[in-house]
Amino acid sequence: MKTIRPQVGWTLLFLGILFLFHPTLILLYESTWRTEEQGHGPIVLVISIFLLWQKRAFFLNAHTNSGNHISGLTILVTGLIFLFVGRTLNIISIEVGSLVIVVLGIFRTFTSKKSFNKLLFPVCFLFFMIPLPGSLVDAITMPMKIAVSSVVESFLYVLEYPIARTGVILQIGYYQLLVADACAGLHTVFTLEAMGLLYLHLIKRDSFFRNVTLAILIIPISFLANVVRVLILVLVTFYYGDEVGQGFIHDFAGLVLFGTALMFIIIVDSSLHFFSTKISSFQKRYNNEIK
Amino acid sequence: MKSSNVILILFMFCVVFFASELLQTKLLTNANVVNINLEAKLPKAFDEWKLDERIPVIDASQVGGLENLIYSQIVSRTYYNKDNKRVMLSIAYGPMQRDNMQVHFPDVCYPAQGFEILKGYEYQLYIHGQSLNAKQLVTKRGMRNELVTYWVKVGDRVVNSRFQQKLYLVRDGLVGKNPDGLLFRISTVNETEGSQLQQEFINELFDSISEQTIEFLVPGVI
Repeated sequence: MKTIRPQVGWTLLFLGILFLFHPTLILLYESTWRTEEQGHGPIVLVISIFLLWQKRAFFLNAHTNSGNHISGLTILVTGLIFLFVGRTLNIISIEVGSLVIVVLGIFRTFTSKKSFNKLLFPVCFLFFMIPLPGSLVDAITMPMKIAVSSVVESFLYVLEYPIARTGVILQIGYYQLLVADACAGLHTVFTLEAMGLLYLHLIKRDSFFRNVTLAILIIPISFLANVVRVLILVLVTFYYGDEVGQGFIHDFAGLVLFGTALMFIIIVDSSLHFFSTKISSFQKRYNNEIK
Repeated sequence: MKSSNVILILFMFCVVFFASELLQTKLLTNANVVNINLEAKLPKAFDEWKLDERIPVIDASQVGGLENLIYSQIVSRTYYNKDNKRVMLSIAYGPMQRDNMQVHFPDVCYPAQGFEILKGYEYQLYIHGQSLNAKQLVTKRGMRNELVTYWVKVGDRVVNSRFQQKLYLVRDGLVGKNPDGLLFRISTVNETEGSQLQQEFINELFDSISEQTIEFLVPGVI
């Protein structure tokens, strides 16, 4: 059986993937990535590629014959079937999703179990690039918008601001504000979840418990971050007028959202860290006392 | 690295790529090319109705903020007659109803603007003597009641539920078609159910536009 150098093989495979998925990428570039909600797509792609490049040692120079050909090719073929279905039926979520499966299949075919596990995160991170189906977004976004606006309303009401709410429309003083999709959407949760997982990956906390807890806590965190964003927007509009408020939306609101969310994530993570070390040291002392 | 494996994978890539590409070109050539400039074809005044330039209409494109992507055309107008009754007209058109670029139903965009939907039911409209299965919603925001009547076309059919819309899109996708989509919506403020005002408005509007435009708005009615 002939063999080729891994560098050559991987380059060929990379070009193959590029060839196979270039219509998908063009479509994303022309439509989905231009929208406010899915604007994070290209960033996710770049981060994934960057992380893979950082881990190139695990596939470029490692033993490329140690993979599991049968399960690898099975995954690959599954991915290709998804791609075919997604592309012919015009369902972009399936089409993009198939990219993740195809890449996983290739790595499974050529890398050992240990290397494959190292590559799992960067590849699976691509899942965040999948555009969410419109019906799902519609179903979840509306209740979230109502929840965000009602929390903002009750909070400001307690602080004795002249605020009232009908549905997702907040009325403060003379101004009326509509809590738009972008202010509370499922997309922000999705993006923040991606950011949180990336943070966890980079920080490399070894505790599985802490990782899972934080990954789950990111959902309420992004809700809170959205509340903070809308709150700031409402207050800016109340004190400085509609124009400043609208300018704020375009320039800073997104930044505030991610800043707040990152801050919350770091606080929660640090306190989880603090508590788990507290508990383990307490256990040690307890054990020592028994001895 | 075994070259046979690499070659096998690249071969599979090619097969899938060209197979799906072949179907894709079929889809693109089937895309509806008939596109009428609605802004120009719809009269600014007809019968006893005149265009009111001041009043904004609930934007059909607001949900998701995709205005420039989904719809290649959006018409939002308010007309008033001599009794000072107002009818809001909103038309959204997208030449290709790809996934995530579908026409939004008022069932979604009205709640998004803070309206509560009190009631929704099928409603018989008459266009050129032909009955049309449209839908009507009774909505409310604060003191403002709005009666919304609409229909949605997918390709050459009129649908009145999101489920039907999806069904036809998948069905067309399977036979390699990529249909266009249009939402036609009129609404009136503080109008009770079963009011004849909207039907009168429709009658007079459709009497004043060309058959080609009618066919574009309501396929198969003429």
